[in-house]
Amino acid sequence: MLFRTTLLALTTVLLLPSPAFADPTADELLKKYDAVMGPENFLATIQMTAHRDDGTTRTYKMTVLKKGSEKFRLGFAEPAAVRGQEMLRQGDNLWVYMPNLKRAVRLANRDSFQGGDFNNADVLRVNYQADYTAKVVVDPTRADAWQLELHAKTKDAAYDMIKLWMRKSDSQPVKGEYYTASGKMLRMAEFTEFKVYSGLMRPGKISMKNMLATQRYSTMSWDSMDTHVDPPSGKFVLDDLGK
Amino acid sequence: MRFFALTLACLSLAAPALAQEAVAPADSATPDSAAPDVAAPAEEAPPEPLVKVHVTGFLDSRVTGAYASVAHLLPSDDVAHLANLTEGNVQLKLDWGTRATALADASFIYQKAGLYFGNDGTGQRLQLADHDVVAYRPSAVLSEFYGTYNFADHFNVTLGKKRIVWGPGLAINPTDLLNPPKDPTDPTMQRAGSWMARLEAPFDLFTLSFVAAGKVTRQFGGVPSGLVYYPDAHPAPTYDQYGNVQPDGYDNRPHYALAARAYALWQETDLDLYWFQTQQYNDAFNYKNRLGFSASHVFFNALELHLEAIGFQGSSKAYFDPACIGSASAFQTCGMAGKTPGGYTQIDDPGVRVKALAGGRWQFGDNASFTFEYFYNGEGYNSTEFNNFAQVMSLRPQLLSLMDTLASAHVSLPGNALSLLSPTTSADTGSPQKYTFEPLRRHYAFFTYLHTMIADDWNINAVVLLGLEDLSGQIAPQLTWLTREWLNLTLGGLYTIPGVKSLGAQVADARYTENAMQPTVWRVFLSARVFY
Repeated sequence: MLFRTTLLALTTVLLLPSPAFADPTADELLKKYDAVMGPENFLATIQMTAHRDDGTTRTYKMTVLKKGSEKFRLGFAEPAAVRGQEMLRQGDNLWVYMPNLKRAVRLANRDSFQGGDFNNADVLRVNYQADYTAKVVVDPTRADAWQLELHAKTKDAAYDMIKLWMRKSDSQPVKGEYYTASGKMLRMAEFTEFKVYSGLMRPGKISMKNMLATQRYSTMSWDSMDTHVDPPSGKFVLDDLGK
Repeated sequence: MRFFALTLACLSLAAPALAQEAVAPADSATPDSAAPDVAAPAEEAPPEPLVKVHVTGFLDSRVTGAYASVAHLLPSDDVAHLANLTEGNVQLKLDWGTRATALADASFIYQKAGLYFGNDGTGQRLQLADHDVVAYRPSAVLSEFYGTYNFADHFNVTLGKKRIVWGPGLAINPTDLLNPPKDPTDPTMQRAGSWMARLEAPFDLFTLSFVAAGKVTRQFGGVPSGLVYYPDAHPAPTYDQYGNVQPDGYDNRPHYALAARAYALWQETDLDLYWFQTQQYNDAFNYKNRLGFSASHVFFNALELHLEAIGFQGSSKAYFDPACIGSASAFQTCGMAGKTPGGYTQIDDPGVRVKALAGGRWQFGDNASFTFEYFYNGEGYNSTEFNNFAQVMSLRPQLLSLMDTLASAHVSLPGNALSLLSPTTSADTGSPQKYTFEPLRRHYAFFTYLHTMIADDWNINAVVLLGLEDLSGQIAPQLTWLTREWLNLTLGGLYTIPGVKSLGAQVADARYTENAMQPTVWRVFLSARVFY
């Protein structure tokens, strides 16, 4: 009797949907994405290469400084033609400092980033928890990854809708698709070359394919990333640009 | 069996914890993590050096072909129809940690110009001999040369020469009283700032700035030898009733600008309040206080709207008595009779005047933007005043000759009238400009279209400046080929829009619109710029 009761209990537990084996929630995955792609504070050196229709490339080297979820500052080091150009994001505000004008001008987030296939927000606004609502959807073609469907909840979000895949083994992002409100796919990203930076594992490279001009794509590689910095807040004010 | 039941119970209780662990903490990963394609740890950034040195710059060579009319109001004698400008620029920046920064931006400019044409006196075009023109001389321009020290996160001091532009206007900035003027058809041409000291307290959402700037009264090779005061002012200069120094152009007064500015980021809007006091700095005003305001905000994530305005009493423009400007002799007769033929007669006028720029920039999704700006110049001439000004300009050659005659006879006219023809300005005009915007009238519009990456490596932009009272203006298209990451080739032009002549000033039997007063009809240039 005892054996039968125990067997019944075991069977019941194994067959019923149990919290012990539940998938993470969409919010948990989104939080993980933000933590991986936009740690609280960091100083990184990044290289972006734009591959164009004719097979030629343009490479930009830059440093990115981040403090909290709202403050980004980016400065271009290469090529010489854009050296000294800077971008600053503070909350929903974005400015670009043009060294040949000796001044900063306001930008919208949706602008293409240096003519590549990323846009400004891809680089300077990694805060999906603030910008999107998310739900987990089933992708029968990928058993190894969770799929998230993100919908913009603020006007400053870079895209109207994003599909994001995060692998189940360690919740690292592996793929993203970026859409307009009408459902047209604008870009597709692949996250690869996972590395550990200051104890943080994350993709070391993102390849962004332009779905409107399919011969074009851009890659962004993280040469270094220090997550232990504590930059002064004075580095993230408009009047500090160009200094 | 109890063991199994206990185990199942434990599993059930532990379920929420396991669900949490399914999303691995971001900082828990190690190189040994079981991720299938984890690479080796990325290299840490090397330690920062004590002093970081950044050197950049460019070498630019620009060939310009132009056509100047000999029938316009202003003479074409000094307009070269063929010119080459070669500029070598170096920008050196030194960073000592996060506390101190020093920067120098210097250009060395060599120019060669020729092919001049003038009026032979009968209205016919006559080629003139190549001659020395100040604007085409080789020069050195020290655009910036300053050091900044951050005493604390929220307080820094800057000393030296620096270009500070606070207002959001693109083509022009009515609140910019400190710097040499920029070319609205190509604002990138002007990088020069002013010699000044700045105290600044920047915070997250607001900044307080105070600037004291001195006018360059004399300089050699881009290096000032006179600042604030003229180095060799006459011991006892005389002033007329309007406070203007007499025609020698020198005085012993200080020439400075003071500026205080409060910036706030409020509701995602850049807001600035300004106070200025200038003393014969970049205009004729004496100890003039001015108040300004600007705002900039992005709407619909694509449309930036901005407003920039400054208000003040009086006018720094020269005004002329129509009874005295019919001819050079009438001018002289008025002066000798003690009547002011012309001068800064409204400089102390209590009436408030406003200069304001309102505009918007629409950013398209394909790297393109279109900017429209309207400029109201509150001290611009009305039709009658503009007519008087044009009349005096038509007499300019005779009046300059008269000036020499009177100077040799030690005679001066009241109102500083003749010195208006050769006004004393800052010795530092900054970089050579393709076009100088000196608004005489009241209403202007600027249209700027910029499209980067119109095709891989190709940018286009076009600027249209339009005087709304006579519809004369300038159109400046430009095509840039980013040949290599280090080489840009630019083909550009400048065409004078003649406007509607019937709306222009009448001088004798002819009518002249504002922008068609100057002789250049069109200009085409090809520029090659190598970056390093």
